[in-house]
Amino acid sequence: MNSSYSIKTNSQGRKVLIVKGIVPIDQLKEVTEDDFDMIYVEDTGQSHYELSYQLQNMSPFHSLKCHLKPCFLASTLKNRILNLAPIVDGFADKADDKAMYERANEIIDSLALIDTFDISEVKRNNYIYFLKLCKYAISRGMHTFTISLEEAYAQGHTSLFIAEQKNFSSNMKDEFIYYNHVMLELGYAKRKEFLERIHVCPHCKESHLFYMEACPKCDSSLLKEEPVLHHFRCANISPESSYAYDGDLRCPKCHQFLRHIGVDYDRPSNVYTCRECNHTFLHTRMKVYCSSCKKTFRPSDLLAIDIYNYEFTSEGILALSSNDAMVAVSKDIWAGYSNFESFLSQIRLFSYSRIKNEVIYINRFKVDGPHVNNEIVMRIVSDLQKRYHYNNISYKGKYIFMATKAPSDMSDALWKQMEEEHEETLKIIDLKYTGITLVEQDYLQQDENEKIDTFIKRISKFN
Amino acid sequence: MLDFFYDIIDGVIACFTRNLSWNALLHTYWFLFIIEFPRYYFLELVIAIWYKITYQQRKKAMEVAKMKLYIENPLITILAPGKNEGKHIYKLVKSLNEQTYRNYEIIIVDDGSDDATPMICRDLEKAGLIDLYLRSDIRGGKASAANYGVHYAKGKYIIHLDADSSLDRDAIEKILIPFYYDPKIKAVGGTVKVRNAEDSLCTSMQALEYLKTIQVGRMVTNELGIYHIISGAFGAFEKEKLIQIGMWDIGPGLDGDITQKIRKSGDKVYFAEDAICMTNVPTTWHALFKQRQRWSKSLIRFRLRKHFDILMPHKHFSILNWISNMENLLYDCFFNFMWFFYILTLIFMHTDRLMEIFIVGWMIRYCFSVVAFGVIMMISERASEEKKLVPYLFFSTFYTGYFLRITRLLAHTKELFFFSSYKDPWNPKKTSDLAQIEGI
Ligand SMILES: [Zn+2]
Ligand SMILES: [Zn+2]
Ligand SMILES: [Zn+2]
Repeated sequence: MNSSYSIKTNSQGRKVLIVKGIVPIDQLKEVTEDDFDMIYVEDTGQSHYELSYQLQNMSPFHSLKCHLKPCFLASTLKNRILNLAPIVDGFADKADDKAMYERANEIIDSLALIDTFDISEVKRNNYIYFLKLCKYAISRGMHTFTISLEEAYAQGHTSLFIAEQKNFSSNMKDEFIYYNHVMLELGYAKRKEFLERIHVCPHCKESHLFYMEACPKCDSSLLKEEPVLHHFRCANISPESSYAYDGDLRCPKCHQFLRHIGVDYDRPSNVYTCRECNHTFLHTRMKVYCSSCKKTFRPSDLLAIDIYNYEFTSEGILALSSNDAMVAVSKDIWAGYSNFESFLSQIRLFSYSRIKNEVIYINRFKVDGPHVNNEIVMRIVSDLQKRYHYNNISYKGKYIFMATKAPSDMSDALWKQMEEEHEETLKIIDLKYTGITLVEQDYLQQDENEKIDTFIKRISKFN
Repeated sequence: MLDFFYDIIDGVIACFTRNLSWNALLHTYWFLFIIEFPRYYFLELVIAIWYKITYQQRKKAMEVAKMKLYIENPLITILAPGKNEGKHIYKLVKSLNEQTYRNYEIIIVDDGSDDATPMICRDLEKAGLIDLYLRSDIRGGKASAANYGVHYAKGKYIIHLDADSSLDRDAIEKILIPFYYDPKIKAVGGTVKVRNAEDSLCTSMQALEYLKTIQVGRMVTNELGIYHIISGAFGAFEKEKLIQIGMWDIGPGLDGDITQKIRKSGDKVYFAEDAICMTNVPTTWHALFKQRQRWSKSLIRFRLRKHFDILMPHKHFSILNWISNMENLLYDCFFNFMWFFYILTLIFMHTDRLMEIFIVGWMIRYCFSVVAFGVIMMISERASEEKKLVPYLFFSTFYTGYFLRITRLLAHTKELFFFSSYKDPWNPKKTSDLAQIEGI
């Protein structure tokens, strides 16, 4: 495949970056962010995978140069785009299509009213990504989110956040659901109408489930289903195979041939036999296999999720367009927070660039209680980092990690202050969340000569 | 009017004073003295006394058999086929949980129920209270439902139960013991008693009747080696034997039929008078009448027609089987017709003394029934409870002497001349039609 690009200025003075094949735009030294206003991808016979790869290269969220810019594809690529359709603004037959320019103009005009993030803004926080998605939606005039059930999305439905990435980690999905709640709480969005209640995997929240019939005794799916035959004249009922006789049906009891259904015999039922344990039964038990986390559940274990249509409120649109408000809001909620992977990589970064005498202390807490779920853990995380000045905070499962930078030879007074702070933290959480306690698990400190890899291993070793 | 009654009373008194002679009594009540008394009262009394005398000896042998049973501890299958029996199943399962014999599986066969039975049974199956729930979506008849269950049974012995019956705590154990008492025994019948005896006069009379004809009557036929009917409500069969004789054929009266088939094949059947099962009986005379019509028709259909060969010399001819069927046919059918003509002659020959004859006849029967009740008290395991049925002896002449006889007479006539059992909705039409063509 020939890969190339060109920049053309159209009749309205907009600069169009025309992409053929795979072009790593961010790496092109001769093209800067200001050199183009929009992107058009031509059909060069690329496959779905090649196309997805190119769309990642020019992602409105991750690419620095293409940030939130309008993106159009050749019409013939429509059927190769599949689940990435939400991040494409439209299709056009040729690079100088008039309708395409009109649509691009609208987007560029509304982008002008929206404060964008500084290009160097930290990418590590999921909330930034989430806010980028909101900005993207507002710039496209998508104020309401008609959520639809679609198998292409792992969760089974589109959402307030656009499923640009198929491979969200389970943590990230929880966070995004949480952000949705925060948006509702802040009055930035509201539920419009109830759509559907779907069932998802209780473990990984995905909807790609297989429903399987299984033996009620041993749960095996190796079943044989066979009709039973009732021979009227002698009242014999047994499986069809016991009647098999040289291609004909002959009664095993009275040895007469069965000729006419309804006259000589009928089939009153079907019986299953398990080939593993030989158990016989009329009704199989359903089991549900999650294709993403490979776990098996009972249908009653599945998590029911109510799906609503959402809508940005006018305050929401205002606040999300303005960067200051947005940053303030998001800082209030999530400053200092990173997801667990970034948390670890930041610790690694710190160890490379640390000032003499300074080490990282990590406090690990466990959220305990009968009804602990991800949302509660995240609320506690949010409370903790609002209250104290940890350098970084993260969580995984029921464990919360708080990292602090401090001199390796801490004074007793400083120690005491830290301990008091922790005690107070535990008390406040106990008070605020009935039935939930925060238990201090342990306290980790990198030893003077400990390699960073061993230290990280120590942090991530928990159960 | 009063004179009329005085006349009768005078007549009755005269019967015992002036005219009292055995000859005269015999002349009028020959049917009672010659046909009924020897078979139903005298013979039963003698056998019951014999049974009591040999009790200790038999008890020892049964103790040994019980030990053998528990050493082998075979898995048995409890099979309850039926239609719309869902409401009874939970009670049945609970009563089975109380059994002294523990190694059993429960199979419920639902013969095309159109009520909540499937839901109830699926729940019980899920809860592990029943081992297998089988269902025919289309009703196939009682025999086919039972055969369906046998095909999936894993037990060495199969205990056939009616879903609405319940068992004494040791009933399963007691019905299994005879298999270890004599290896030639391939099927054992249990004693069926009436649970709803206090519901109405009709059920009280049936309670009395069951005690006499089942617990005592079958004990007697068993002792004589001519026991011929294992109740569908509570019977045990060796599975292998059951399959060998082709299991159940189309009913009604399939319990008698299957007993015949086992006897014919040369094996023994046995009656366990101490294995007690309780069942609900019809509470109205009309329902009872219909039930007995069905039972009685099967006598003609099976004993006289299908198994007529037992009465003829043939390869597996057995004198006991011959006597068993002959006795059955004579007493339940032939003598019944005879009774009809006996009554006719009484009516036409003694038209003026009818009331008198009737009252004296009642007195004689009452005396007989007191003897019979004495026998029941000798045999029954819960004699003290059943004592309260004594007042009902007063009605037993009307019940056994007239009601049951007339019911039987009608049924036998219908079946003999009109094959009416093949039209009984108790079986699905498709099976009855074929059965009639095949003569089974
Ligand atoms: Zn199995
Ligand atoms: Zn057949
Ligand atoms: Zn899963």
